[in-house]
Amino acid sequence: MSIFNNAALLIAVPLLFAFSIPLFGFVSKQLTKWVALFTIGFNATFSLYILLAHKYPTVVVMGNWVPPFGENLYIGPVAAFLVSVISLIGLLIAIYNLWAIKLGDVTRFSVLFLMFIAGASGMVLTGDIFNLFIFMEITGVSSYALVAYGPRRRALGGAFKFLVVSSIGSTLYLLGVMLIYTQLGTLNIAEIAARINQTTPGLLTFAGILLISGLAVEAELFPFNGWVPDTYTGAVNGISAALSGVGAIAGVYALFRIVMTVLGRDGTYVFTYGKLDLMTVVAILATATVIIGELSALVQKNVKKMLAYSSMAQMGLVAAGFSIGSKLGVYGGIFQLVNHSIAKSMLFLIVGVLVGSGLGERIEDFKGLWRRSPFLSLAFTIGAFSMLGFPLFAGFWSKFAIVGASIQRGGWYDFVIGLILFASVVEAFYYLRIVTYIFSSTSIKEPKIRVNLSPAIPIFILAVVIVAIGIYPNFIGSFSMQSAGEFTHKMTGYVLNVIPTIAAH
Amino acid sequence: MNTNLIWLVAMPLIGSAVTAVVVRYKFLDRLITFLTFATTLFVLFLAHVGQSYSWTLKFLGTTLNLTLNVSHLSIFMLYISIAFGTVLAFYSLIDNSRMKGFLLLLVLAANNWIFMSNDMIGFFFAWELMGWASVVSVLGGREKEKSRHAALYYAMMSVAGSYSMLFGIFILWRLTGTFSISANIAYLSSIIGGHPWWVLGIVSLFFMTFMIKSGIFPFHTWVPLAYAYSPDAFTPFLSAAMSKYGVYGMLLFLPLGLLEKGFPTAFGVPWTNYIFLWFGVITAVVGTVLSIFQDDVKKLFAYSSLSNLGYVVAAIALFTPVGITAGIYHAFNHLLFEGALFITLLAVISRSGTSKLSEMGGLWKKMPITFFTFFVGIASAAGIPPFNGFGSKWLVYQAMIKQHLIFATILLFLASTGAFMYLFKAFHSIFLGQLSHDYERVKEVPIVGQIVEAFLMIAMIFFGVQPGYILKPIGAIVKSMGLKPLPVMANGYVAGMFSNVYMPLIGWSLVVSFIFGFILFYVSAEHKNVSQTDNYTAGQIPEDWGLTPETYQFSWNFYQPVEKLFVPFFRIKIDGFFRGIGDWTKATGSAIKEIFVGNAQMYAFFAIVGLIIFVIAGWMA
Amino acid sequence: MMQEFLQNWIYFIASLSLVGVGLYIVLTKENIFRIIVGLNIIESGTNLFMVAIAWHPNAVMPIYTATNHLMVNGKVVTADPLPQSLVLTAIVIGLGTTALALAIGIKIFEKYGTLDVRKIKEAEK
Repeated sequence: MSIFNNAALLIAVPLLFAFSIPLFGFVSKQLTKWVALFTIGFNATFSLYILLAHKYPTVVVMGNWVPPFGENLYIGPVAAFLVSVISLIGLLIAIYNLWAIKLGDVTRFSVLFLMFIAGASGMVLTGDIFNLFIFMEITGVSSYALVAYGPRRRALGGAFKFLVVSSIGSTLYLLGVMLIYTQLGTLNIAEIAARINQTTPGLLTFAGILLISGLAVEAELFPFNGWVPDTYTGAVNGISAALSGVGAIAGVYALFRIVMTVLGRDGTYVFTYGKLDLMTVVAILATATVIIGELSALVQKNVKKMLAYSSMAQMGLVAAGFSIGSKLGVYGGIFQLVNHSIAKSMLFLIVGVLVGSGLGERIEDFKGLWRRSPFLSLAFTIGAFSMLGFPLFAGFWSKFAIVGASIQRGGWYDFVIGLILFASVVEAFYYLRIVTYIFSSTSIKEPKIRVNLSPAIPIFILAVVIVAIGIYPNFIGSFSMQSAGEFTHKMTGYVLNVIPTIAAH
Repeated sequence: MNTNLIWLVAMPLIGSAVTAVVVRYKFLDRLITFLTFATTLFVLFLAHVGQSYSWTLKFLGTTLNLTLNVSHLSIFMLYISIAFGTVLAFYSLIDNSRMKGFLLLLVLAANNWIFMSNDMIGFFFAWELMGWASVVSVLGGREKEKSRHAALYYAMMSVAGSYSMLFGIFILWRLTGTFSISANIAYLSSIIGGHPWWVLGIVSLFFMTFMIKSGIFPFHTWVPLAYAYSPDAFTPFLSAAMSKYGVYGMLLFLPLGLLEKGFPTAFGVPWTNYIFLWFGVITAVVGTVLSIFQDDVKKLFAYSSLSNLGYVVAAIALFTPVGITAGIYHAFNHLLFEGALFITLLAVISRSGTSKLSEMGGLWKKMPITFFTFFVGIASAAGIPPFNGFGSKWLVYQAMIKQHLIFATILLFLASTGAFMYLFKAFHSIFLGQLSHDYERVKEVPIVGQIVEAFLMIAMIFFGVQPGYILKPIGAIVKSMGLKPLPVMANGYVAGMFSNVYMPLIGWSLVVSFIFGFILFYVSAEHKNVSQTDNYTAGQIPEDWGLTPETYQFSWNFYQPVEKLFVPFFRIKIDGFFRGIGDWTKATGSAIKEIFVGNAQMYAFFAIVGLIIFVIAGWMA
Repeated sequence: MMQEFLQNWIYFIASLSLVGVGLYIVLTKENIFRIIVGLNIIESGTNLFMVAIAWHPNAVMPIYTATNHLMVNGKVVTADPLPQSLVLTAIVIGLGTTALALAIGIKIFEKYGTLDVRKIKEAEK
């Protein structure tokens, strides 16, 4: 059926339902959550169909304006894979929200959540750098509002910080886009990518720096990630999970689509055009992010804050993997990105359930959790072990690949990975500290924690997925490998699929 | 392709999945654990040297071969570890500590994989699996808070070691393009002549891991904590079987220095091995000295265990035929007697409820089987002929003396003498002397436990008197390493460099003298039982002086005079070094955390500063 | 000369100075509403930049009529229409962001009773 070729529905349907949700809200507020759930469910089904039936690569053309003249969506391996992950994790969080979101303006929460998913999907799908900006803003605006949702006032502070930093970031991004436009007169990613070396190197470098600085805000790289801890801590847990599970994917994708596809130069290792190798810049940022994130997480006493810093550090690890620039490194990066999304969103959901049943957020509050809720304890342990890259859990394979790729490249990447491994030891400490707290029992007899079905389903599924990937990494691994090819070989992987007639200049 | 090998790994994994489901029903959990161990042992009977199995994994952008390979060394290690595990699992049927069967089975799966793996991916996977499974196992100890700390400490060491090995694995991969262990070792030995420092650096990355796992100085600090505070039923496996992974790893890498002709040597040993030998000797001495002053019996034997591993490392570092034989032989003996000792401790602790030496005493009448097993165990550990520890220690000394390593030999002798001190202390404090009032009602362990103890006791005596049964397979290992094995003699002989010992003769002479002593004991003056605190207080009541009865127990400050001798050495705290690293990291973390306590403007400021720095960098470029 | 320079560069200079002024306000002012105004000024600067790159002194409107020749001597002389359409989008996005920021600002005032970011930070501790 031809409709299955029109992947624009992945953005259009959530937006359509987002703006018609207030109508459902007149019927019942609870209904709106179900509408959001089913809409994201549609997205998940559709994107999974595209992914599993191998309906990619394909270009979706708007109004018969073929690229590079019109706006287009490009569904390559990366987009198909990441949009599936985004909508699946979004779906699971929507299931969790059925239970978690009861107070306040449920209707508008559902609107914003759908917009958030639509924006993130759009960022991954679009083939136009200005549209990327628009979707970034849709994601951004909806996530500021989502972060501000909730009874606690620190949510507002987090939202405001996020807003200020992110606004500045998107302005920088826009300036960078416009600088490139002055040089090439086009906004189509494929065409810019093919003609990037026609630009003036100095101006290109400046534009690249502006673009990286803007995108690093969403990709949580130091020093553009100041908003992360406060925002993650302030938001309700479902939203923290969405930020780390969905928003981070889109952010990292956008950053490396720009750096590797638009500005990059094919080769054994991807470098960028211009006077400064921006991949090196990203590698430095990533290493700094890992070290700063892990060390800051080490001294936190609040679990959510700790998870937030860990999220930041993991994004650094992902970016380090990408910045190696070899196929293996990008493979590790994407794999780690997906694993992190799965594990971290699960951890946030668990914290959400615990907070919902009256437990505090301090690390000491996790003491003896094993006696109170074996299910949540096991799930938390699985998530933590996956973050640490222990075998039998998903994170092992991706971390293994990143370390391998880094050492394969050699040179100063040996130091990068040395520092990252040191930081990983720190990470192991603070995660295992919680795990040991969970299994050390308290003498006080405390009541068991009842977990409702609606939060239990996503947590259970995510935990099972982590173990499944850990035992059989090939399934996700093969998609990651295809995606890596799209990043590292930009002409054959991306440009020629969008504009078959174009030649590299 | 021998598919039976894959079952050696798959069987415990399946068993582990099953036990994980029934984890709430303790007996079922233990029963399935035991059955899985027994089945794995049965599967092992089907494995022979030379078998291999490989399967492919699409990973890292290529198709990788994962290979399981049975060598002489691996099958020896497999037999001893699985057999001991089976015995332990049988004992654990009646045990009620908080050991979880599925974790033990995960360790077993990793154990089999480590010993068979011929590729570094599988090796690392199994190594990490074993690491986290054992860390989580340690969590279930009796003293919750302490076992939590111990598990964390162990985990940190273990993770640091793993990452160091990971780094080494990939460095080798970069150099050779393959993950095969044998191919990489061949490569290393081919370049050791030209680039000794390179090879040393790479091998050190691996050795750090192995030394951590075996608890070799200066990485021994986690051992007493993890052993003492792990669940009592898990400690025997931790000490007996898991400390061998490091030894196995070292044996893979140690031959490197020998393969190059003209490699600089010291005392006929390649200088790298010579340095490494000293780590072993220091471990033996440090373990012994620290062991003497422990009051916690599990800590005492933890130090004893690591001191014995010092002997093993010192012997295998020589890499002479007699050295390798002595090392592997002692590794086997260590597994047997240390396992037996920790199982008897498990029995004693489960009955008495304490692991403090100063709270025990006089238990021998209550727990006779345990007592005799323990007695044979410490006799073996002390290296008293004809029990099993003697032959290997004797060979270790021979190997050292053969290379004229006089000073090292003296130190090892010293350590051995020290071993007598702490072993006697433990023996005396737990079983001899007067029975404390608290233990009037203590009973012997259930029949299953008695069977296990008796079995281990017989095994220790058997392998002591008939060492040939174990020396023959070791001879095959030595031969497979390309060295000339020691002469094969009848089963009763320990064949050394200078002379051979006929163990049964020693055994009989000991039996005769024991009988003689017993007769003397009976015909001599009559003896009577007194209460535990009778003989110190001279009629005074200690409470009046603000003292408790424990301080008058005979094992209180047992070796105080000796302790004073060593006071200056106690100031050197290796443990403090690691904790210092930890504190420093924490302090740095607290400092860095301050970056993120600003407000929106501060974060925007960071972003702008970052941007400006990049723009300047772009300008300069 | 001066006129030419002004004609060519005045809008770029103005737009970048607006960005600079906006950043200065965001980084230095304590009042939340002033920060929002600063963000707005940054956005205006960006928008001006976008319009400025589409324009040159002798441009004609990009609509083909009988009197409006888009090409002179084989060179395109129209203003570039694309950035102008983009700037509309950017203005709308800026409006949305500002509205949301103001809403959050009002909420913050309700919950904390102040708009001073330093006092808010102290209240959070």
